[in-house]
Amino acid sequence: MSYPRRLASFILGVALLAAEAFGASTQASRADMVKKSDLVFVATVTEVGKASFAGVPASVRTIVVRVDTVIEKPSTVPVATGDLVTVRVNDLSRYRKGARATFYTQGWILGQGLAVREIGHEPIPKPKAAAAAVETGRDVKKIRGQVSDTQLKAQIQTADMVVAGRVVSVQPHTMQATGTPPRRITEHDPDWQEAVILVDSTIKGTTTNNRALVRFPASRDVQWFGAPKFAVGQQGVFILQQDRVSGVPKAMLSGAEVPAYTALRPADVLPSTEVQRIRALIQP
Amino acid sequence: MRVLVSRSDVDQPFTHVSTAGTNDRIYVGNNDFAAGSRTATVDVSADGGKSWRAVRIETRNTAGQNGPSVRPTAARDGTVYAAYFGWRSFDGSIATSDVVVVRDDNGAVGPNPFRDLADAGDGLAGRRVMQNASIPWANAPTLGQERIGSTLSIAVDPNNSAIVYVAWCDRVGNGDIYTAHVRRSIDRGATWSGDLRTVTNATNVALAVADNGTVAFLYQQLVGTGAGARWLTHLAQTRDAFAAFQDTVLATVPANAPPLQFLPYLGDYAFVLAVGGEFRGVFSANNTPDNANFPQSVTYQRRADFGTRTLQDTAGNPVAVSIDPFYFSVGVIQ
Repeated sequence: MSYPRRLASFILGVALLAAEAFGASTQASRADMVKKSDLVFVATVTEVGKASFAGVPASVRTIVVRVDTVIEKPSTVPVATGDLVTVRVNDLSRYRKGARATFYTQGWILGQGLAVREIGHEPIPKPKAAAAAVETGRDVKKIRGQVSDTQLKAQIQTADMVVAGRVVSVQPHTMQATGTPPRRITEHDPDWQEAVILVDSTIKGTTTNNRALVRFPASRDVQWFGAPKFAVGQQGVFILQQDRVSGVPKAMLSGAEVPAYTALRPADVLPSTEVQRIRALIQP
Repeated sequence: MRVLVSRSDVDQPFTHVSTAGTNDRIYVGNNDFAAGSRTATVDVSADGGKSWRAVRIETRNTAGQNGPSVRPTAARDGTVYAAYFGWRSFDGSIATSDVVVVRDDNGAVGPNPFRDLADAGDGLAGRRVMQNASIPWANAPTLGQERIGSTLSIAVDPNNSAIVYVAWCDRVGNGDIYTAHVRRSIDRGATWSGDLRTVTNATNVALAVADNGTVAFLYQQLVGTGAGARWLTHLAQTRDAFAAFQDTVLATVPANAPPLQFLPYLGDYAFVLAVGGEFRGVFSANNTPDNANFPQSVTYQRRADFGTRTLQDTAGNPVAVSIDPFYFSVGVIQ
């Protein structure tokens, strides 16, 4: 072998070792991987450098795996034991045919098959496959619970008001009385309505006469259809933000000007049964 | 993907690209709510997106804004047209609107873009192809489960910029909900035909002109009532201004399934363009895997059982019917 080739091989070898070291040191903790993943499964590698269906762009970083156990997946993603899945991996050199691992992934392509992107993986020695799936499944559930409490706590911390109560009225918005920006006609018009909540319990913030006014989009436009809608008689725990969306922060209630609030995420409206959990979360 | 430019307060951007020398010329029609009451705008870039200029194309008073749809198109000789809805009044449910076409003879890169076509009636830039059209604005299920309010398309013969077509929908008032119209100019927009084609209870109109002058008119029409209502997606081609035309039904699907989840139900637009000897485009429709729903045949890129007419997941479990985009390619008639 000539000198330049030996040098090139040496450099390549060093690069691979560096990649290996880099990869190992940056493999995140299980909790970090769970938080970033929406699809977690145990699988066995069947092909390296290939894809399981034609819809996957050609790449040297894809492997094909056969799913052994689905630990967690979104309800809308069709994947089950025995399915072949393409995984776009972080480092192809870590995989050999027949190797088994727990894969933490995000969805990538769903067409004639399923392709996902690796967030991380945990190799599983052969004898421990079944036990690993069970143990991992329990851990993922525990981490999700923690994530859920963490997320709820963060939500409450950034909320301007949190109340438990019942919706007693719903009416078109009263923005004209408090200063209205020019109304633009667009398919994405939120069609603001105002719901008045009779507050049973104030968990955070201050109400006016035990009432909170929540402005919500009645529109079914794609931009707004997921935002909670309010109806008379509805009970719950409401995590509210001061209205910084409509451009008119105040509303009229029984002749008086009051702050308007919004609850635009599905997670901003919780069942009444969550009151104790929420109180426990915000205790110092 | 690299973001070239971002602006807020803009509705319905719609893009057309042509080339001039080695540069892409990009025209983005949009309803710019930062523009006062004359909101119809075409953002123009003559250098492939490096720099932009917002050109206000409405020259008349409006009802506070223009309609959402602003559509540009360009011919190979550098002539650029744009069509828009000039809302003159709005009562909360009906916009009384002009259908306006503007033109620029030099790629819209000069000092006074889109001022080359004046209306003989008032001398202002922008020829009113139709005046005082009643356009229902209904952000709720109105045409079947679909909303209506703004559908508009313009297409120019790529090799003869004197020939230009416009299509839009409005309410004629003969018991219709929404009627599609197609008109043509053969003198660079100065004068226009009457309706060459009208289709009752249609929406999502789109036009294209092929190199040989063949015109394609894509639209989606609601037919039937109650449980028998269906959405038909048509591609009509003509070489003689619709005196005769070849009608190709791309899809005929149930209109009541799936049930509405959000709006738009099918989509606020469909699209067609000419590429060589083909018209290619996209539309959305009910995705039941039933060959009878697709008279020209169909290929699914998802698992489906056409025998049992069932969508499936990768494990073979049934999946509910929904709305999917469909791509099509139809040969240009000669």
